[in-house]
Amino acid sequence: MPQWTPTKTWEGRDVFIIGGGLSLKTFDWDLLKDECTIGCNDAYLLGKEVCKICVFGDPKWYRKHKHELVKYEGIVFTNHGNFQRNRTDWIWALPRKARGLAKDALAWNKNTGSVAVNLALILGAKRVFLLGFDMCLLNKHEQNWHENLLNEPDKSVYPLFIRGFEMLSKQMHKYFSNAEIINVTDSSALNMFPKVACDAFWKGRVK
Amino acid sequence: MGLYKMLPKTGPHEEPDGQGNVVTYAAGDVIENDSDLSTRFPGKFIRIDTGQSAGKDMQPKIPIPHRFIREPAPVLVTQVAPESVQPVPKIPEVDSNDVPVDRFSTPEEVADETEAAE
Repeated sequence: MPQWTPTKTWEGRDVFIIGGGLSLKTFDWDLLKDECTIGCNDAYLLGKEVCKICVFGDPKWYRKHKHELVKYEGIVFTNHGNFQRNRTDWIWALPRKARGLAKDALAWNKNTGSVAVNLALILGAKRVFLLGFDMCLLNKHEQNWHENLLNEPDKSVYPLFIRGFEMLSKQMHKYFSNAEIINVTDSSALNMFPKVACDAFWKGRVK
Repeated sequence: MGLYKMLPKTGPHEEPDGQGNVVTYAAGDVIENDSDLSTRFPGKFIRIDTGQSAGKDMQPKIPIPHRFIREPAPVLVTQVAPESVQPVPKIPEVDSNDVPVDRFSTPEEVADETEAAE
């Protein structure tokens, strides 16, 4: 698997992270076509026009999706150790750091969203906008905007994800002091970043 | 026809040799091939007969979307993160009748200074 040499291809830009939350179920994906985007896991299903880069960190997810993922025309990144030694030559890898943030690795923090944020910051993002980062179960039976359930809905995972983001936010000043993270997810339980209401954000976004 | 070198930490790689055989190559091997192996297997092969650089070929082509913003549009934040609110330092109130105490003077020195002043 090829190792990526980090470059600031998106320096100074706004980068949108596509999370997996149910709040994106009715989202107008066309809004993202002209934006720099990094999608977590199943976001590759939206195609490269919407999801320019796909990241994953969970080998279980990869095993389930590899036959479809290989058809995706965007760029695929991971930070999982297993993938850094195998022969898959269309997945780009960076080393995995367990917690926080890094400039030459992708921190895991026990969730793929965090990996995507770290990648956006390495690429030079000035502002990172989080979409679909619900961090809670908005519906007892559904947890994602897509229908490819990897695990049964389980609300006990969200505190782990939130703790991961706490570790990430504590290292923002150390590694990426000029960047900011803004949560554009209605009803999100992720409260350590400034929030903007989704409708208001897109109405105010200059085309 | 091009000449390709298999990059470190890649392989093994199986490739037809054009004579009906399949040959297994390892990292560091040089292969002559009709097809463009550096495009077919990016990150695995570099073309070495055209001066192509390995670093350049090994990087993904990250697209730069067309959106152009002269000034980043301001965002109206509807909820400020608790961590971003800086605590206001508590400045102790000072009673104007209190006489400042010099912490570095001994009681004897203070008494001497008081007597001298009188």
